[in-house]
Order: sequence, then C-alpha cells, then structure tokens
Amino acid sequence: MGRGTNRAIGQWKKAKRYGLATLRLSLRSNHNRIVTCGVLVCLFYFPLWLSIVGRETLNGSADTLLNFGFIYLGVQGLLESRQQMALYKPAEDDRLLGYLLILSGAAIFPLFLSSTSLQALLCMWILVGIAVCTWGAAIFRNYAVPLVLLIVSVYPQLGFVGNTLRRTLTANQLESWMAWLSSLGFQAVGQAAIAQDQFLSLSADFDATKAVEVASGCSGFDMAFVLAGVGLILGLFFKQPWSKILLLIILGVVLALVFNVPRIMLLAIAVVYWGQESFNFWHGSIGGQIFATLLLTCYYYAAMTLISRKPTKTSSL
Amino acid sequence: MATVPTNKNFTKSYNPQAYNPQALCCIVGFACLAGFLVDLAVLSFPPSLGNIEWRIGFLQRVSDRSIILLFGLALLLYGTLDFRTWRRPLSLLCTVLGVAFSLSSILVIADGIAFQRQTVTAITTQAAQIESQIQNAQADSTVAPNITPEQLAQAAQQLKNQAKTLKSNAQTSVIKTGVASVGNFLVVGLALVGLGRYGARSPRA
Repeated sequence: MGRGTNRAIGQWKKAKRYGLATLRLSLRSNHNRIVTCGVLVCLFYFPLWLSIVGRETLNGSADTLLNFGFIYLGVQGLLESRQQMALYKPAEDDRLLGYLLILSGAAIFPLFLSSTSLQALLCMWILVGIAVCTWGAAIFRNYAVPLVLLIVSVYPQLGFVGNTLRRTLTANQLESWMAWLSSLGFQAVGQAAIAQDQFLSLSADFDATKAVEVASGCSGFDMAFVLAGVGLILGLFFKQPWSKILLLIILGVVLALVFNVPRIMLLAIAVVYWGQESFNFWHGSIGGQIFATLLLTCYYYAAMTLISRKPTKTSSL
Repeated sequence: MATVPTNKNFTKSYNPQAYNPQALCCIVGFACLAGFLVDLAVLSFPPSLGNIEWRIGFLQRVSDRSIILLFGLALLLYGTLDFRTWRRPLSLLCTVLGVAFSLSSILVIADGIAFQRQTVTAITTQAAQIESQIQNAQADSTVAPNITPEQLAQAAQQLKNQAKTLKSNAQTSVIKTGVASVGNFLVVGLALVGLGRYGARSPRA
C-alpha cells in the first residue's frame, strides 16, 4: 500500500473515532438527546437550503449575499463571545421551554416536507429552542444581533418574503410611483410621457400601444431590499453605531429606488421604439447586471464615505 | 340627620381580608377562561380537520379570541401567586399554551399557502374553460351567430384581465388574513410564554 493510502486510512480511523465520540456524547443525557434531535432535523433541511442558495447564487440573485453575510456576522459574533456564553446556565423553566420548542418543531416537521418556507421556519424555531435550552432565554437579550442574524439566514429567499409582504400591504403602489417618477423623468428630457397606475405610456395622452407595465420585479424593491441588507451587514462589519447603520440602510433603499427610474425609462424606450430584442437584452441578466454593477459601485463609495467619516462625539450618560 | 362617614370610620370598616384583589382576579380569570373554552367548543363543532377552509376559519377565530385566554390566565396567575401548588402547574400550562399558540402561526402559514394555491388553481381552471368556449365561438360562427369577432376578442381580453385581478385579490386577501392571524398567535403565544416564566420564577414562595 502507498503512503497516501495509509494516510487516508489513518484519517478515516480518526474521523470514525471522532464520530463515535460525538455520537456517544449526543446520547449521554436527555438534554443532549433532545438537542441532537433538533440538530438532525436541521441537518435534514440543510441540503435543501444549500441547493436553493447555490442555485440562486448561480442565477445571479443578490438575495444570497444577505444569507452569507448574516451567517458570517452571526458566527463571528458568537465565536467572539463564546467564553462569556459558556458561563450562561439555563434555568429549569428555560430548559423546559427549549425542549418544548425543539420537540414540537421536530414533531410537525415531517408534515411540511413539501414546503421549503415552512421547513425553514421550523428550523428557525428549533434553533431558537436549542439556544434557549442550552444558554437560557437571557442569551437573546445580550447576544440578540448575532443570534437573530444566524437564525434569519436559515431562510433561503428573504427577498421573496419581503416582496410578498410589501405587495400584500401596499398592493402596486411602488410600481405606480415608479411609473409616475419615470414619466417625470421623460418629461424632464423633453419626451412626452404619462403614467396611469403602474402603466407608463410614451405619449401625451395615454396610448395602450405605447404603454409598458411596471411589473413587480421592476419596482426596484428587490434591489432596495438587498441594499438595505448590505447596509446592515456593512454597518455591523465595520462596527458602526446603530444611527449610522440606519443611515446606511436608508441610503441603500434610496439609491436603489433612484437608480430604478432610469432603468425603467430605458426599458420603456426599448420596448416602444427599439423592439423586443433590445428589451430582452436590457431586461435580461446582462442588462440587469449592468445596472446592478453601477448601483453597487455608487452605493459602495457612498457607504464608505459615510463609514469613514469620524463619528461625532456624544456625551455618554 | 344623615352623617357623612369620616376617614376614621372608613378605615375601621375596610377589611383587607374581605376585599382581597387576588380573589377578584381569580373570579374574573376563571370567567375569561370559561368564556374562551365555551367559544372554542362552539367553534370546533362540528370538527372537520381535513377541510382547509374550516381549519383556516377556526384558527382565525381562535386567534381573534386568544387575547381573552391571555387575559384570563394572567389574572388567574396573579390570583394564585401565593399558592405554590396552583402557581407551578398554571405556569407550566401558560408555557405549553404559549408554545402551542406560537406554533399555530406556522400552521396558519401552511394552510394559507395551500388555500392560496387552491384558489388560484380554481380561478385558472374556470378562466381556461371560458377561454376555450370563446375560442370555439371564434372558430365556429354558428355557435354564437349574434356576436361579432371583435366582441369575442374583447371578451377574451376582459376575461384575462378579470382572472388576473381575481388571482391577485385572492392572494392578497389570503395573505392579509394569514398575517393578522399569525401576528395574533405570535403575540399571544410569546406573552403566554412570558407569563409562564414569570409564574415559574415568582419571588413569592
């Protein structure tokens, strides 16, 4: 046998020993058994999460940026405080609460194998249970940010949830505003345009043959959501005060919505005057990437200017 | 001549044992609990767990009335704070109910998603049936001799718009109802868990 084979066998034996030791530890007490049950459910969901996040990343979705950013910040935050966290001992009622969360989540998990969202929610539920029964509920008071970021990152399509809620609560108001702002943009450059609800017509009076619909995907919400998340990640990464993090988030949302107006104007011109091929190009992945690159570059410089500015001294209480 | 009672007389007549606020809380707490249970019994009969519409309606009504349960349990817990034998099981009940109510929010989401799909599929099927009838009429003029091809084209366009609007409205209303129920369940669930923790850790022995 070669040297490489021997090394592989050695590593396999080491991994086997480590695995058996972990298995023994996981079954040693009731607490460990219940936590193991929760971890197994989360591990069952993990390949699905990985496949969705991988697919979305390959498709160029910016949503996954938030997942990875949240995981990084969450893990970093917990690793930094692991020694203080080890001192937390859960009270009896916290343990009971944690066990109830884990076991109830694990019990109904098999009922929702057809829905990714519900599996993600149940895994979040179980993770909360594991944290509560391991460290006590007080851990959420002192380490709320890293824990919440980690738990939220379990959901693979955060933008989808945000957009669904936005459409439910505000219907197509954002689309209508975008159409109206684009019509103002056209009028500013001398092109006749009029907006009617979410429709934008490149004519003085509304003409259906020269009109385009600002659909949900073109409302700018998706990019605004991502940039709000990026603002949060940047702010936490550079350890900025919450007031500045809020400013970074607002800056991201405003820039995304402002940049969406020329995009809609270009798409309207493409669909009305340049033809379907041109529209497909600008509406497709390449056109989208061009706008996203411009937007992200501007946001990066604006955010860095905001971050590098010396914070004003405030008197502490 | 009638005499106005002085403060001294009032103090003499006041007996803290006779006006125990905890006993009052127990009475109101039991009343709230009984009211909630009666409502629950009325709502759950006849049970039809397999029917998604029944489940959505049931969970929505339970979430609407859940504040009564929270109020009743809070009053009952306050009324039994001095009685360890009652306080402990009541705290446990609050915790279990809190977890159950919070978990119900996930069931509400699951049912909401399924109902939304069901409604959208029903609208799509009906729209497709009517569309095929219009297409038949367009292909064969003897089917509807009094209707012009322009009118048929207009009807087809109206049908598309109406189906789109109906789907959008159905989705929005289902999500709105779901969000309201989820909010109620989560708030009451977390409050019940908080009650349970308060009862379990009460400084009173």
